[in-house]
Amino acid sequence: MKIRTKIAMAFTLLTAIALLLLSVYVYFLTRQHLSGSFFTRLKVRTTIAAEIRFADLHGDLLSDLRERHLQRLPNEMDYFFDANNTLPAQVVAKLPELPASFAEEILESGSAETSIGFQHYTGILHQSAGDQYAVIVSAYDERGAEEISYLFNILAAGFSVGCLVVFLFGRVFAFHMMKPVAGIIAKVNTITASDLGERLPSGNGEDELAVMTGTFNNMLDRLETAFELQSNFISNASHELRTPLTAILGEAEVALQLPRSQEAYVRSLNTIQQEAHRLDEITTSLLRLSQISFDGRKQKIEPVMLDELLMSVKIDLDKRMPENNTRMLIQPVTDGAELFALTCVRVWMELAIVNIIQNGIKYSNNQEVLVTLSADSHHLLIQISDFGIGIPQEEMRHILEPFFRGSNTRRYEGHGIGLPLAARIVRLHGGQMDVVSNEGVGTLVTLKFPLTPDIKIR
Amino acid sequence: MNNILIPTSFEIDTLLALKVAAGLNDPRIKEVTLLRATPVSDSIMELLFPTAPEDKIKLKREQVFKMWAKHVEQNQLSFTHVKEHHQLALSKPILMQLLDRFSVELVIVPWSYQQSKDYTDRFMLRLLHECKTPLMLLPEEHETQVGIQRALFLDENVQAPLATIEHLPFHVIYQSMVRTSNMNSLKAMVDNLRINMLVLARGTEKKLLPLVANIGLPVLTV
Repeated sequence: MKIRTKIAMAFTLLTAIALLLLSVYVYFLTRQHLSGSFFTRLKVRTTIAAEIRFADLHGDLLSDLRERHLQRLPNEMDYFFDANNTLPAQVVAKLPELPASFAEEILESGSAETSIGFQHYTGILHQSAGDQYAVIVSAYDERGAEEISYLFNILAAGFSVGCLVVFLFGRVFAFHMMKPVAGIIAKVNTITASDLGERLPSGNGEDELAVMTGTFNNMLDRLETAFELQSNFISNASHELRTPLTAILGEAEVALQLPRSQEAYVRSLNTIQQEAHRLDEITTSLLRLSQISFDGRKQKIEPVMLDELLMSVKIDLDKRMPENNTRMLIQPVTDGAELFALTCVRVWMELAIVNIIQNGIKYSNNQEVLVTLSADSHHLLIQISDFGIGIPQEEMRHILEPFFRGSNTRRYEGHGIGLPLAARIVRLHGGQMDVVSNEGVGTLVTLKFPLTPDIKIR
Repeated sequence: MNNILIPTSFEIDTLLALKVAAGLNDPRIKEVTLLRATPVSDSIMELLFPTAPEDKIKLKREQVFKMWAKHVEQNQLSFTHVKEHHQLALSKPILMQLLDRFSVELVIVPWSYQQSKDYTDRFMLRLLHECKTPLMLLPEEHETQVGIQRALFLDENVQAPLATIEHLPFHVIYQSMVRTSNMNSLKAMVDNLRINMLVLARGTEKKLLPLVANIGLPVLTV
């Protein structure tokens, strides 16, 4: 069953229950009211009948006057009995449809009333000339029967029509309510892997549907990013791997085309070796990048003093790249040196920091790279800035994709692995890496670690 | 950083404030609002029938926008969303509401505005000093073409608010980090570290602003 039918049915059922309860209440209340009103009239008639029957004078005259001038109730019948112990038997004999308890109630409380359908009975005790009599009058409530029947028909018709109308309105309401959902389903069906740029219309409201479309759109954003990342990674990786391979193949083909001198062969072999080394470097970097995620358990996690780590990085850089111009500044601390202690895999953290600093040195042509380390009671902050070529604004969103290289880095050696690797290491240590860059001005990389990191490599 | 507010009387250095905002090169900046506050007139007729701004301001305004458009075109800036807000009458609650409404995370005050003799401008400046929103006071002349890369936080007597500065789109260096090296004067530090902005903690402006006034760099109070 479709949801819109279920909604309409539920809507109709609820309304039907409410209508039914209301109808039953109105029906019984009206019937009780009509019956009460008829009993009042019947009781008066019983008293009149008793007074006339047992009047001392002109009993026939009064009876005649009553017949002629007082309106009789439909099917009105008077019954007179001696009020003694045999009254129940007398009543049952005369009026077999009445229960014996009716006569007993008259004897006990002086009056009684009962009804069978719309046939009503009233009985009273009457004293006359020292004797006691029981007077019972019965009549049929013709008007009450008609009114109740009419009311029943009205309520039944109203109930049926009401339910039908509510069901139809429920269908329309459910249709309108489900229309946006149907629209979303239709739109989602049109979105394919090759067309992930499409988004669901979010509408203007802040209702559950708007939240749902927002959630869908967020999911599509993530999917699109993942697809784009995958596609870029494959294209960049293929390009990076193909370049040295093409050089190796080309050099080998050229060398084999004609017999050459030994020096020429050595030159060719040297070129092939260089390109093979480059290929090896790329695949090693790639392997390391993938291992960072999976080999965490093999690494030693320990508290590392970041100020010491930075100093050792500086010493190492000075040895390997004597022309570098890296300046390290560390915030003086009064709370003890433990403030700079970070629980991490030392080798990885060093690799991440070295990669970022090397990028700064490389892309600023050995201009000054400034590294600062500061901390407060909650975070550790390492900031690395350079006056290099910067990153074009439109390429910023790709910088953490493996093998991606900025459009302004053509004349610099590199594979586009360093920064994604650093970002992954920082993330695995529960940290956060932010990059702010201004093309032609410089780049600032901020690494922020909580003092109690949520390390994801344990 | 979401939005930047520039209180202005449309002097020509409003353009400099806009260039500084653009030079921050922060993709989180969504828009810059130029705020012009004017006092409520004493004349009931002027209150009932407000007139257009006087011709002098109108001309200055047009000139600023014209030059900004030219600058955007010449430098191919993607950052172009500048809007204008005219505020009739000012009070602290009104300013707070404006800062909240425009989601302002940085206020840049041009030099001319800092020097203005106009009561409303001076009142606005005083209120801005009392707010928690970071406030950047521009010097009389400042070369902004290269953007702001490094800032020096004068933290000798105050605890550095790491949480506030870590989101700034430039490298903030604490003065205490450099104190041990052989850079004795502030000027030497600024030159040696290629600093293009000074940062002060709130509450230290009265003491430190006169000392840094001759450095000729923008001053950010956080």
